[in-house]
Amino acid sequence: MHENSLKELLIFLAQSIVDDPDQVTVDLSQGDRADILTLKVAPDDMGKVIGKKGRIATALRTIVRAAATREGKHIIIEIVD
Amino acid sequence: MESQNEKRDDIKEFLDRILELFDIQATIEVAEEPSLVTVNIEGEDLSILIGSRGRTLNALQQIVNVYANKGRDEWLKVIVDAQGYRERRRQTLEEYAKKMADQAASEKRTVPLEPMNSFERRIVHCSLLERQDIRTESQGEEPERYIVIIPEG
Repeated sequence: MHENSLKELLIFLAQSIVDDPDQVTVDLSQGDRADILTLKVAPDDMGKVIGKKGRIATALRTIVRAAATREGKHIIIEIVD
Repeated sequence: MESQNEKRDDIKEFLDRILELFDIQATIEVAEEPSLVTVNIEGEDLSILIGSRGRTLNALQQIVNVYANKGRDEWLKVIVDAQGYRERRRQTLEEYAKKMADQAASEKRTVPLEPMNSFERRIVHCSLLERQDIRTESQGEEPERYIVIIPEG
C-alpha cells in the first residue's frame, strides 16, 4: 500500500471519531526504516483519539500498521495537539 | 438523532471506505437487532484485516463502535466479523479451555491461560461455568490480563 493511502486511512479514521473533523491533519515524513505519521486534532478532540488508557490510539496504530504490512515498512504514529 | 437504520447504512459506508483504503475486495453484510448491529465481511483473503488473534479486527470494531455512537444517548453495540473468524475463535477458545480445565482437575494444580481480552475471557469463563471440579478467575492487568483455572475439592 502506498504511503499516501496510509495517510488517507489515518485521516479517515480520525475524522470519523472526532467532533471537529476539519481540524484533523496528518503529516507524513518518510525515513529509511520507518515512516512517521503525525496526527493533529483540535485540542478538545485529543481525548477522543487517545481514549481511556490510550486504547483508541492503540487501535488506530493497529489498523494503520495492518494496512502497511504489505509494504513491509514500519509506521510510527505520533499524536500532537 | 439518526435512526438505527441510518446508522446501519453509515456503518456499512464506513467499513466500505476502510476496505477501499486497505485495497481489499470484499463484501459487507449487516444484520440488525435492537441495540445491536452485526457486520460480517466476506472476501478471498482477509488475514490482514483480522490480524494475529483478531487484533486488527478488534481494533476496527473498537473504532466502529466509537463512530457509531458519536452523539447518541443510547449505546448501540457493533460487532465486526470477517470470514466467520469470531465463531471459529470461540470454538478454539472453548476447546482450549476444556483441555486446560481437565489438566487442572486431573493434576490438582492451578493452570494459568494465555492473556486474552475481556471478550475472550468471558467466552472462557462462560464455557467452564457448569464444571464442579474447577473454578476460574482473572489475574493481572490489561492488556496482559489472563485467566487461571483452579481445581476444586
